[in-house]
Amino acid sequence: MNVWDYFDQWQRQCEANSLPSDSSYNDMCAAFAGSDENMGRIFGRLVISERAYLSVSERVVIGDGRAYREEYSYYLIVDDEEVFGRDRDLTHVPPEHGHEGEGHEWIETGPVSFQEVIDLAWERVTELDAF
Amino acid sequence: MEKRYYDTRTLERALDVYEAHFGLRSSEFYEAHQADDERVATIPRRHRQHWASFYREWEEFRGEDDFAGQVRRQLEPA
Repeated sequence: MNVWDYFDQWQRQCEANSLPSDSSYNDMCAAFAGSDENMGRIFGRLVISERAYLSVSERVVIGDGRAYREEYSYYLIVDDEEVFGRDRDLTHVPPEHGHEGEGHEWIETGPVSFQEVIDLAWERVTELDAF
Repeated sequence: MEKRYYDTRTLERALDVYEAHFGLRSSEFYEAHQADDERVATIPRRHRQHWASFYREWEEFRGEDDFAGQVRRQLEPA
């Protein structure tokens, strides 16, 4: 596996969850030059509805034939407000954490998959009737 | 998917956009972000996370692909 395989998988996952890019999936993905296709980034917005989108940032490293999200940051935005965030940031202990609501309350989350974030985003958008 | 690549100059341009938008140098931002200082309190969380992530990667690799790094190596004893 290299980052391009990972990006292709990621695109298929977005499509399967009805999450188009606000630009193009291609514009959101790039490999780090000189990394032998083993490092890359995903960055941009996935559209949920007219009022909601998922802000996505991943720094991906390939090792032992697997993709590792060294850093990630997923935020659900509704009407320009951050509803929740899930981050992995190696400068924090523990690296995985989340933020909830207007006050950005800090919560411990443990590692979360992209699919878990997608499911949570759809759940919140439904609760908020933000279509 | 069409292959696209980025390097430290790409990261630098991304940092420039944040600096121009929020009126802070990236190094100052990063220090304030890590300390959860009030200078960054009005910056939405996601932008803080993204800016910090770009900055960390730029810091990690900036010495690798510029001539300053090459000059330093040339000046070192073999």
